[in-house]
Amino acid sequence: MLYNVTWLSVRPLRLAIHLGRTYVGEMLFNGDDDARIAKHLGSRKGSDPNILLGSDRPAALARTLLTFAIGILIVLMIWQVFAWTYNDVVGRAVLRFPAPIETFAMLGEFFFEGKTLLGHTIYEHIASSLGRWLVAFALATAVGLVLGSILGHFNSLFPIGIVPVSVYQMIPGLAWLPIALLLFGLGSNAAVFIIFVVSAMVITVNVAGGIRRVPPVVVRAAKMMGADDLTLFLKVLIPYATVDIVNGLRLGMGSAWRVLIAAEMVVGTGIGLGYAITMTKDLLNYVASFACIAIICIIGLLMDKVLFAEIEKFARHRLGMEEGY
Amino acid sequence: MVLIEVKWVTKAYYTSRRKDRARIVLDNVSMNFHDNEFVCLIGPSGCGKTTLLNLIAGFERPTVGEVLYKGRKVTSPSPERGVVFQEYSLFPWMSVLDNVRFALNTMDLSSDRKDDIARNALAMVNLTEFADQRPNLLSGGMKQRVAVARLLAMDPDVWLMDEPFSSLDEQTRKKLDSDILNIWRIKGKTIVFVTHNVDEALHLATRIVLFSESPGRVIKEWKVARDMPRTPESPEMVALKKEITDAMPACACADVRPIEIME
Repeated sequence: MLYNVTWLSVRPLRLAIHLGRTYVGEMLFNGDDDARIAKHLGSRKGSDPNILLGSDRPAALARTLLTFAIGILIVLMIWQVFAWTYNDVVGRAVLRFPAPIETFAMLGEFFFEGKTLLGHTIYEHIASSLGRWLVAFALATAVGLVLGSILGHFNSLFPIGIVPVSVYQMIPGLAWLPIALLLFGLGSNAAVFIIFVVSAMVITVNVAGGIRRVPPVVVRAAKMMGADDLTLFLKVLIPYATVDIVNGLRLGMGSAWRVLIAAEMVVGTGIGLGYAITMTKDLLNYVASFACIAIICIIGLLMDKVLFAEIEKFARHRLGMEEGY
Repeated sequence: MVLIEVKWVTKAYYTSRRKDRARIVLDNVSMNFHDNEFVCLIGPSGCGKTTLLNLIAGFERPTVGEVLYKGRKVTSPSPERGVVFQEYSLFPWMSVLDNVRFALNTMDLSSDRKDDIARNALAMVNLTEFADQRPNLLSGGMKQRVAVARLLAMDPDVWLMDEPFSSLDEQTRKKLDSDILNIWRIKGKTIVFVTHNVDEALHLATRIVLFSESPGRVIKEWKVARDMPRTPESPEMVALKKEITDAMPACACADVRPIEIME
């Protein structure tokens, strides 16, 4: 009996591991580069060491998508197991824990059937949040770039200037609430203010750091060739620090997005994804809350992993700072 | 004609974060560099050769004393004194051509003229076909050749070269040394060349200046006649090399007991 059970379970398991290793493993972990190149060695012309391999783009895209899909699947599984345990195994709660399927059904209604939430379509909520984010992030970018450049460029100013920046950066986003309310009262402007301060500080720190990390020998080379302060700054320091600057914007964007939602939850904006989450929670419509959370995740991921990742790649390429191939 | 005067220069740096200690790197050094000289500064590592070069370039100021260029005090870097650095110092986001063109950024020339000058300079270091490439695709030797082309385009009176080829392999280094020698012969500039390699100095210099170990002082200097045969086997070369090697300060590590291999 025992023998049989072992036989039954081990064989398929081994097969699964074998298949996983050969197909999924190869796709996930960049494949076997040497094997790929070895296949094309025959196409070598005479003693020319260059070999044409053909595009790796489709395979690379498939790998990225598969990796991403597996990651998302893990998130959904944890969510599903949790919801199932909460609702059916423990099962003593009054309210249901929204499962992925219910949430996605609700998302479908929001997006395709025009179902409104708190008197607005989901598109209006999204547009409102994105608008707020865009205004605050644009302001923060402008301030962060200027302030960061000044602090990074002038060595004597940096030790003084970095103190207030660090102090402001230490204040958690929502702790700005009293100040935001004093300045702007309840409403959208208070939220914009909170988002602005938080991301402006993140951007400032990264821009200043990026400029300060430019190797001294590069600065000396420029000075030796007669570059004045402005040329040095615009043509050498800024390009050299671009990757750090883009990274700073990316971090600033992320913190802006997170604090945006939190700010909307507390300052009473009347519309927006964060506002929708608190309101639906109070109305005990947890499925709608979950749907809004999902939208926030998706938008955040798209901005970070698609938009900014591409910008960073582009910057690296334009600057000749690619990290290997 | 005296081009650069180094007068009683002492340079010291802090050696602790608390700034309660400093260390002298160059100790009361005085020397002159003349027009159309090829001077090699040699000496053990850490003896202040690079520091002296940085002071002449204007990147740093002496703690005591002064450096004069054509009679005027050196206070900042200038395109009159070009530098080839030991580390790679190209701008990675610019093409090779644009890197060379940057050396002309202060000059009032048309864009076409700048292009011509930069391409000529690249041709002199045999990099014409790499003009449109980015530095990250070049080998170490090629990167340093671009750095040399930069100076060719800029055409400074003084070339300050800080162990420019020390990170390259022997063959490449020798080839580039010969190129530099040719450039010097054609252009007739003043070159100050830092190295720790006696053979390299013998191959290049019209004057060799030997520094002591830290804190750096000038121990001795030798003139090398221009018509002296530069083949390493020639009797004059062998004799001079022995003289220099004998005068070289013993390495600090000589005081340390030899490594014992434990059984």
